[in-house]
Amino acid sequence: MRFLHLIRPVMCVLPEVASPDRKIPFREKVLWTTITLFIFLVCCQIPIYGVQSAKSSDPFYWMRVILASNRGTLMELGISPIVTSGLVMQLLAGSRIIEVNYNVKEDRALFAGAQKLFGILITVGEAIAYVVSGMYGDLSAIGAGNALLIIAQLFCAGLIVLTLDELLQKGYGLGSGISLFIATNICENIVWKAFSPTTINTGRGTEFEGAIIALFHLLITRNDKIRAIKEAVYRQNLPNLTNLAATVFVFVVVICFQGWRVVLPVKYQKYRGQEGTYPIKLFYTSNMPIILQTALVSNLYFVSQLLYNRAPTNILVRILGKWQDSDGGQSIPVGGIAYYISPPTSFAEIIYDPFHAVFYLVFILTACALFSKTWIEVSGASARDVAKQLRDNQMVMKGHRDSALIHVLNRYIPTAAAFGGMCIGALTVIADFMGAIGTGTGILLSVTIIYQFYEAFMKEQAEEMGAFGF
Amino acid sequence: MAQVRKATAGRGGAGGGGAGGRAGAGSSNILQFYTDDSPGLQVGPTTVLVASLSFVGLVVLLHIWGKFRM
Repeated sequence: MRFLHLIRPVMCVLPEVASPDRKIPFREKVLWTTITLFIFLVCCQIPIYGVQSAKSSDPFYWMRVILASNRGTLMELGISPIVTSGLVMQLLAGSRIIEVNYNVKEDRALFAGAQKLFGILITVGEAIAYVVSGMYGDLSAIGAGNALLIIAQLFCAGLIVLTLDELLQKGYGLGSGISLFIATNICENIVWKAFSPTTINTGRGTEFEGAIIALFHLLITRNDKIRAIKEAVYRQNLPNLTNLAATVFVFVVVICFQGWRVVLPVKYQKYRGQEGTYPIKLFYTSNMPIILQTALVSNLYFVSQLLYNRAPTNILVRILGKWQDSDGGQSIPVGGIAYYISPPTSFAEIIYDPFHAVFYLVFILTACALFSKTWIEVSGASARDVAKQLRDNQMVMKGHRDSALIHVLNRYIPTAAAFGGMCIGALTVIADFMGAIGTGTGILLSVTIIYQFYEAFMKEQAEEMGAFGF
Repeated sequence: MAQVRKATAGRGGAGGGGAGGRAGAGSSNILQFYTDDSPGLQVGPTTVLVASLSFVGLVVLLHIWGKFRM
């Protein structure tokens, strides 16, 4: 009896988007993608019914942007259930705790079903945890009926995200729902911080929230123009021009890095003279290390915060993390492991506690490199798998014997994975330190996702052109 | 330089599903879990669309109803 077989009875009730029975034309794909995005954005705006207050501290504050979730709206959970279930299942399968034979069709189906089921269970679990922990107001104040309603709404929203994601992945749309939602959320955030027309009353008079709008507003209203520019560039608490510049800088750097690759020449055994290339990118695992690292940290924060609220005096809980409410209404870690893996917030803090900064840096770099190396094994992108893939396509490395293929790949792929992961980690740290809008992780994710979409877009178009050509 | 690379990539692509495209697909496939068909409650894409829109409508109605009940 294997674990996967336990899933079989519930398989028939899991919602499953039917695969398209024809090839969806490019235009229709764009249409479906847009519709999906529209539903997501609408869900991001509609508040949950039955919420008393959303004022208590927000344990997922750090991860909101990356998990495509919006506080107090139907997208409260965002994609976190899908991502968490996907990661856990892939890791379990990769480490052979769950046996999956990917060559058997039934196994693949069961595995996908297990992922989906697990995702739904996590949605329910998170919804109940949110309501019971009093995130929407005291349980007695909400009442049992409303509490159930909130859970039901979160559950339905989770199901919708799941099916929308599947809809896109099955070939009705471009890319995957998860990437689409993440990228949208981050880009929305950046544009909002740059052009937001909301006014906020600071001590020095009303100011606009958006950095660029604020610049013009200050330039027009202030008499001393130099001071006005300085204010726009350096103002604290609100997004300023330095943040915006940092964002653009990180964007550009990531796009440059995206193009770095080692191109291995390959040739076909069957057709003489047919040659191709096999590029190995520096960002071999793309944004995966960051997603894994974020998932790890966010779950650790959540657990640590939950425990600290229950038993603040317990020594083990204190080692895991001590939390304090800051003026923004967010809880921030001030001690324990949670503190050391959180980024230092200012330059003064680095001077004050250099060990924290160093530990954070080492943690991020190591975690990213390790996750990256693990991920290539788990996701079937390791040297062995690539060699097999090439061999199945009857391709050999130019200037090497057939048996040497795996050695050549082994020279590049693990290095690219580990080094690429570290680069991603370092970029995140740099971006965060420069105060880039939408956090370094967010920007990295969005750039890599947009780049993937661009590639998919190009491929689709090339295919359409090819269809006409032949 | 860029053009040269493009040219080789294009040739790779033309050669019966070349390596270039495959590598791109490999990295973008990382988050794709549900590419296979599995037995389940089969729903069409339009059903998904209608269901999500009606869910959104339902929540909006709930809000309106809540306002009146106050």
